[in-house]
Amino acid sequence: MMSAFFGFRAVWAAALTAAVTAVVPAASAHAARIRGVLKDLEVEVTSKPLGFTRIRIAAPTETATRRSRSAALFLAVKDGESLPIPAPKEHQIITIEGLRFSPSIASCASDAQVSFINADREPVTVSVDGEVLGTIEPGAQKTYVCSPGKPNRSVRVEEWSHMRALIYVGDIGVAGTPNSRGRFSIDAPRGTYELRVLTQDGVAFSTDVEVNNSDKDLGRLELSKTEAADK
Amino acid sequence: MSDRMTFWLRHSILLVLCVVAPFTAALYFDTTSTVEQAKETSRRSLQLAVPSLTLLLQNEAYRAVGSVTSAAQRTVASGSYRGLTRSGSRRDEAVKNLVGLLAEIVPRRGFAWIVDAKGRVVLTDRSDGLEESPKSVQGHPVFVETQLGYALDGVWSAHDELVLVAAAPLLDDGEVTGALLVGRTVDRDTVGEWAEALRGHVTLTKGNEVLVSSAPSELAETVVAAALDAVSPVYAGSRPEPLTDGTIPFLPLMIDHKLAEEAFVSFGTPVFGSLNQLQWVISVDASAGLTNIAERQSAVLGTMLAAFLVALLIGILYHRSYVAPSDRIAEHLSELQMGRGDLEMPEASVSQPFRRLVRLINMTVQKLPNRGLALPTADIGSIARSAAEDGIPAPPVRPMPLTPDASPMGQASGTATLPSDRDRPHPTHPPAVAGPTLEQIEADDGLVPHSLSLDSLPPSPVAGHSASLSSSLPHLSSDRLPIPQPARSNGDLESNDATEAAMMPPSADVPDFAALGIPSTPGAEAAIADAIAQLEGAQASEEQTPGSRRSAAEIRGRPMMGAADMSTPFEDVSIPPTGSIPGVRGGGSLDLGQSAALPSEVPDRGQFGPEETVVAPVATELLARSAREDLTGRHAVPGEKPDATVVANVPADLLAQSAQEMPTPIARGASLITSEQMETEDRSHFQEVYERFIDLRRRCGESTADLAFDRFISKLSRNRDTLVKKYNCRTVRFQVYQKD
Repeated sequence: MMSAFFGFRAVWAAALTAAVTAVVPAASAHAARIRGVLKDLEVEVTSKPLGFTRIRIAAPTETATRRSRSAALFLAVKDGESLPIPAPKEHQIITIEGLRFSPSIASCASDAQVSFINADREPVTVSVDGEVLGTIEPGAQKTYVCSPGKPNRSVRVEEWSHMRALIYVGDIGVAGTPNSRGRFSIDAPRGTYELRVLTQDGVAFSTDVEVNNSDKDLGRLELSKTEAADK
Repeated sequence: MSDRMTFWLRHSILLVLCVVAPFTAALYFDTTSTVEQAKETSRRSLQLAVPSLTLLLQNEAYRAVGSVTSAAQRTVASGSYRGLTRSGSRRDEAVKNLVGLLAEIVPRRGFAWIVDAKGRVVLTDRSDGLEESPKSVQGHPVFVETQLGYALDGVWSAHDELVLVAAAPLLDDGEVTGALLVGRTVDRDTVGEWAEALRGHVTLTKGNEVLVSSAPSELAETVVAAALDAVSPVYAGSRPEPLTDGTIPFLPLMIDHKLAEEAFVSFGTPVFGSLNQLQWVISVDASAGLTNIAERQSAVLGTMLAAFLVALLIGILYHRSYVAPSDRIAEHLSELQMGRGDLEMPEASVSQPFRRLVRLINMTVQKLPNRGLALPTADIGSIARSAAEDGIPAPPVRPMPLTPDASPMGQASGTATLPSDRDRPHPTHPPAVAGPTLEQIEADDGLVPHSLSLDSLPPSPVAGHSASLSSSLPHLSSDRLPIPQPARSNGDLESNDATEAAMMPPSADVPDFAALGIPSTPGAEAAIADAIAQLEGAQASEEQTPGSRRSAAEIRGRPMMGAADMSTPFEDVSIPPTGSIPGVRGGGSLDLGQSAALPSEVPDRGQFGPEETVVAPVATELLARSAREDLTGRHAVPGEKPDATVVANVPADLLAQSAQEMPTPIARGASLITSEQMETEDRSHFQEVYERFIDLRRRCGESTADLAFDRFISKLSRNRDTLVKKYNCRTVRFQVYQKD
């Protein structure tokens, strides 16, 4: 009986080792995780006249005066010094809700895809860089393939002219999106990269990142400082 | 080209140059200037229309924002907005109040929403209650601005519709907790209102796509396509209705009736506050100033037509008054020159200014010496022959002198028939001469009382003479006149008598008037001799020079020979045989080319037409009858009343009686009686005649009631005047006698 117990434990350990071994090589290919926090995503909302008349009736609300601007990240391979980057498991998603894009900017590697989801009650017709993607019914989605080409691609809605979005298409790298607090986490294989932070205004921040087998925390990245601008 | 064609050609050129061309030029310049003026006016109107639309929209926005702000305040003040957060009946009541409020402020075609702080549309003007799954407008800039505390206006472009939105924040304790949105859809009625205010058309476009327009769709597409990328006003489009005048369809001229591609001037301006390609295109009618151009052109054309007709009428009148008459006169004179046509031209055939000329021409033609008078030369044939050889025209005719002495009776008694000439000056009153008495006439054994039978008488001298005359007189054809006599110059006046004597034919050819018993005077003898001589001369001249024509010199009466020739006695008159006399022309007949010579035989009267004027020897019978009539002294008019005052020869006994009663004739050269004395004497004579006439009628047992003295005197006066004028005598004396 003792022997059966030890045998079961041996088998269990072998299986576990195999699993770990399977994971470890994967972890070795995208071995590091790049973390950080984007600062100064919240900006003050500036008011501008939309017509002939504008009269201040009351003081604005706190939430109304500040909003978080959209940002996207792209970890571009530098000088080809990296291990092969696997295909992303998830697409970048842009949601249409409340007559606006959320986020209003998304990054995408070449041949990767971006999905548009219509969360409003009325259909919208989306076009990317003048190419009509199609009409998206309420609750449906459409996917845009980021073919190689121009990096900055504007997104428009035919029914609502105020709705604007931007898709950044990089060459080889990994795309990422910060959360509402500005925190991000990007998994990348060992290699040398350039981290680009993108906003509606373009590349707001860029820095070189060396990825080895261990995770890396870049800390707080101030977007007001732009080391490299990717036009 | 004839004169008439030339005249009308010139007049046509005048019409074109002075009427048609100026009016056409005026029409062209007026039309082009009007069109240019209309375009300029429309351009200026458009320049004012663009900012006017902006002002219009601004006013709309002000009004809308004010209305929404007021409504938002009422919403908050009523507590209904806060009541939405309650539950139960209070919420239902709040919903009901808010829906009612929204229904009041919602535009005709638009919406009114209440939006919460999260941008969810919780109530609309058509809601029955709170929306269960409200739509969100959180990201719309208008809502975002309201949450910043602003009331504002903006555009809401969705689904190819433009909505003018006015929004105001909803406050709760001074804090923005939502918004009230009111939108007015820009539809055809809305732009129609603005177009009417701008006096043009307003079109909302998205790119080159027409979203809504106050103009017809075809026009809107045309003007949008033209004004899409224009930086200045452009002309495009056509009028929906042509510019034609209802009465004259082809007007106006020189411009397109629909002003294709020029009817509207347009300019585009972006929609303020729009983020896409929305644009206002404002169009102003460029043909607004051309609505009456058809009337203007019709006035010009009417004036031109009137001027043309007046000018044409003037031309017609001028042609009728001057060109045609002168043409006719020239044609008539040409025919006279060529020996064709009538001698006289009717005065009525020409207009009034030329009638006197025609009259003078006719009188001149009448005076031409071609009326039966022959050349008074010794050898008519030789003269005519030499004239033809030398090319000298035959001598003209000298009209027969008309003197009172030529009349057998010195006193005019109504028997003479001398031609009258208005232009010939009236001679002074010749003395009244009493004629021979009946006894004298009978003593001459020339006249026979009419009571004797004429058959028992020996052959009448007249008849006998007529026979001899007929054999000696040259015969004239019906269409010929004898050669005229040469005119006499002043130097020949002294030898007039000798010439006249020389001109007289030999005594063998001159009838012996005394033997005939016809009382004659030297003047009468000379006149008759002249006539015979001219007839003979005409025949001779025609024989000698056949085929020649009478020249203008003949017509004008130039003398063709000297005094010596004139004084050559007319010793031997050889009566030319039948032949043509050149240059003569028969009066009253167009038988051209015929001989003017007298026929050898008296033409049969049956050959002549009833109206032909012929020259022929008088038949013997007629001569005899006229002689008897002269003797009897009566000219009976068929159908004459027995009591009518007649003109007849005075019987011999009455002549004798009157000779006793007549005063001593006034010798030649004595002083003339004044006209007043003449009138007094005539009047007394008329009275005597009247008394005698009354007395005689009474004796004859006839009524005298119808014989008023005034009428009798008036009649005698008229007869007197007629006879004086006719015979160129001084006065007339009447005698009363009883007829058998």
